[in-house]
Amino acid sequence: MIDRINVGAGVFFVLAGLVFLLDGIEVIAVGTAWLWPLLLIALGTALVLAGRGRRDS
Amino acid sequence: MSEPETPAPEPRSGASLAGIALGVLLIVAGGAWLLDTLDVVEISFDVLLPAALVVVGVILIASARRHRQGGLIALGVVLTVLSAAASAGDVGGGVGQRRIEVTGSEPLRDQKLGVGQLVLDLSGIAPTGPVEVSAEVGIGELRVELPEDLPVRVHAESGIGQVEVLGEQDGGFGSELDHADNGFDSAATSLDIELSIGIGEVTVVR
Repeated sequence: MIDRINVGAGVFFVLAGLVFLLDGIEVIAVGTAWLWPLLLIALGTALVLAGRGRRDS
Repeated sequence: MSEPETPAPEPRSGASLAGIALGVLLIVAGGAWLLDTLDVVEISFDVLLPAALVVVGVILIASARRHRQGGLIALGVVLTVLSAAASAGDVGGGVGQRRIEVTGSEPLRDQKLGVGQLVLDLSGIAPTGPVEVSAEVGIGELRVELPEDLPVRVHAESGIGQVEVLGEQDGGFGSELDHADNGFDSAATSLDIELSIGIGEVTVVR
């Protein structure tokens, strides 16, 4: 049985890490205006998914 | 009458995996910090933190068939916030305390510190025209000491933390302050200052 929360969080962390990494080595420039709202949305999504996972189990 | 079979307790692989991942990350971070202290390499937190985040993500995907990795997910959330702060503050330039005293008239651009305290003492600066100053700190404190009678314009921002510019204050997420002295635009000699910190405090005093 695959744990969707593990996979979802893992994919998000890999993508976020790659974006920040590319910003760190100055391949892309990540703006700061959208950063915190996006993080809040991601956190909210994780909490909703976690809640659904608990309800399903 | 036979006793009902009790299911064998499942191995607590989740906790151990999170612990191992955290341990490995701490060892790597400590080693990098040590090498930075010994001047063997320069730590760039805006690369190190996202790299750690990618590793945590890969471990989570690889552990799809194991128990919920709550510890690893929490670690990933912390690393995401730190990476975002590092990106906002453009962390680089090492770790520790640094004090820069400026007495000439040259601009002072792109001063960077990864983690720690950076103090720019501009009280003795002697500009012959408009002078630009810019500095960034990832995590810690950024303090600027201004000369008494030189017109200045200051833009200061903080990802998470507090900004204080000549008595004005702002705090929380995405704090930002702009200040311009009277007569700045028409002054023959002036200071134009850009300051940024990821997590921490920016202070500008006279």
